[in-house]
Amino acid sequence: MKIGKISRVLVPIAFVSALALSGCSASSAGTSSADAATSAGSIVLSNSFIGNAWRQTMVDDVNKSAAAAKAAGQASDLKVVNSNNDVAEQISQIQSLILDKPKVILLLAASPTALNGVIQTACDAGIKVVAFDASVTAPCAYKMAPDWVKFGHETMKVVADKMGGKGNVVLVHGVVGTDVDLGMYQGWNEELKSNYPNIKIVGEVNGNWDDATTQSAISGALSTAGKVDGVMAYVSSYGVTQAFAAANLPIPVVYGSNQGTFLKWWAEQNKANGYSTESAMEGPAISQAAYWIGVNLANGKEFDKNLVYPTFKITDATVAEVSAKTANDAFADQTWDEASVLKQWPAK
Amino acid sequence: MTLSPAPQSPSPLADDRPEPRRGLRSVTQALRARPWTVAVAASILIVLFLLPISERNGLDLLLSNIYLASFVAIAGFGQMLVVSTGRGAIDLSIPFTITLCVYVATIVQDGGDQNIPASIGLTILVGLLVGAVNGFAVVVLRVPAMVATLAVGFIAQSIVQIVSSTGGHAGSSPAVAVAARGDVLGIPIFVIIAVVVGAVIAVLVFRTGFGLRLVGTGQNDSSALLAGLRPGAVRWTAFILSGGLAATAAILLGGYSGGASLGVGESFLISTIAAVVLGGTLMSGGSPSVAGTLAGALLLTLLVTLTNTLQVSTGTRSLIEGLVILTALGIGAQKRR
Repeated sequence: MKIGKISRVLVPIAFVSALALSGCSASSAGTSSADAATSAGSIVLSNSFIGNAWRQTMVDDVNKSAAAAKAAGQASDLKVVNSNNDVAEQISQIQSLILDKPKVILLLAASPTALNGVIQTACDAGIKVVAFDASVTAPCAYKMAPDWVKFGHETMKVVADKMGGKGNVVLVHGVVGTDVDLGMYQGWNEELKSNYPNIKIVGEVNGNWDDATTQSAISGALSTAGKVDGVMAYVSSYGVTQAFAAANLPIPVVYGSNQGTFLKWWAEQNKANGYSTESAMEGPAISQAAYWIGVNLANGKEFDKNLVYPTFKITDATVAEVSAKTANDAFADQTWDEASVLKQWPAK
Repeated sequence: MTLSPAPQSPSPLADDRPEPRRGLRSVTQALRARPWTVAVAASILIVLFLLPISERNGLDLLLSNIYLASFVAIAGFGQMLVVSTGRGAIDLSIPFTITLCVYVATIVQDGGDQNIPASIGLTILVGLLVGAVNGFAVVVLRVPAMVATLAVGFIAQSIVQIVSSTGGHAGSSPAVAVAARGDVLGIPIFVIIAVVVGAVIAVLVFRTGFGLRLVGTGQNDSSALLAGLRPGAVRWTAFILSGGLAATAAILLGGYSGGASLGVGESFLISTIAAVVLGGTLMSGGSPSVAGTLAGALLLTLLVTLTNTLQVSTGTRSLIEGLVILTALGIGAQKRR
């Protein structure tokens, strides 16, 4: 009982003193960021998920830019918070970020709509929000993402032309329901319908943007499909080629992925038998572009609300060079610095 | 289907059942005796349906689906053993164990053939270890299996994230990759491995003292304790075996996909449970079916192939799979009466 009583007194004391301590450190951080604000503001990143290679590289990339900006005296430390693909968790994280009064919140959102309320709160508090990769519908946010419908059109055209404008094609879905998958799928279908009447869709499988999942799905489709002349895939193209190889079938035109495994395979095939395709991806370095936009917003510059992001494209001509520099489980990607970002998206 | 050596009496402790009667009663009696018949019949129906619309011959179609099913079947045997110990036992850590083990296997192989024995040994050891931790949490700490295995799976997943972010993995060994594509007399090597593993598990379940104790524990934990069958040890062993079987599936998966990826195990959560349920193993425990798990895994793969071939929209696909599993569960519940 006595111990219970003591702990009942001690725990609140410890709790209050911890609060006071964190308050102190927060206020000291506040003054330091106020100092930095004379040259540039504080920037934070709210990331919805860290559980795959793309996201891990994305955070590594943005930290590189932040280190460069800090060394040049353009910004203070970048604070990164990750939630576990949980909308509620991300909302409460952003709410507590708002209390720190950063100048810019970079946001990789877990939902296109559910974060709109908290984004509006941030905007009302005078904080600029840059949503990148995953789009949000809040009108006050800056949005940076590729135009996925256009991407679908362009990539389908490449594969369709390499197929000679006729034959059978299989479409590989990514994570179903995401705006990336919906947009790309719409682009593929529209392009086929309007320009390639002689190409027939003979299968649609779910690949989840994962090589192993895609491989097993394609293997299943191949167990009933006839001749396949082309496959539209995104990210998991290596899984597609492995499924054809496992079935001892010739490998059709597969739209590529910028992952090292696929690039290495493509470079070898290209050298050995002239295998020809193209590959493009929205690489994780989009976080760098978003970061430099954020730095410039913090410095009072203004940008268009819709920032269309260019994917990183690899062709037969460049694959040998690029694949040599890309590790198996890494993505070939571009890098962004302030100059290249301002060239791509000129400030108003 | 020769893998169920004693189809007439799957549960050695229940030999005093009434003789089959006519009508519905005799159907349920037959189902109780041979729980795999539903999955086999449904699989045959799907194959017959697919034959005219498929552009490949029937043997090709069947073999490539059996091949895809072999991974699920091997991991499914582990789920079957765990589920059969009763009291709501289930192994939700399987998908994460598989992903972790694919990483372990391919990292040790490092793109070469010289480390194959070491990679197999170490991978299975990791799998057994994850299973042992599951068993410890369930048996000693008395955490409900659903919570314990999910927590252990979460730990395994976190280890995967640390391991995967180190980068520079060379991929699986060429020899394992060749085995993944190889066949003996037209039968894929991995299918043969799955059948051999199934045979070993069948002998273990139906012909050994451990099998008797497993079924006894699953049918009635308290009676098993009173009868000196040591249900805790049995349950713990089942979890360890499940980890080992997940590791075995992982080694094959690594060869099949030529390397590790973070999503490699994901689909095994629902598919191992579904294969076990569709195969007629009772979720309440005490009635495993090895042949059923094989047939259940095949039925699941054929279902995906069917919906792919018919180009059913992606949402509807999951709906169909869910309905089939629910139906199987319903039939399973009828059987218990």
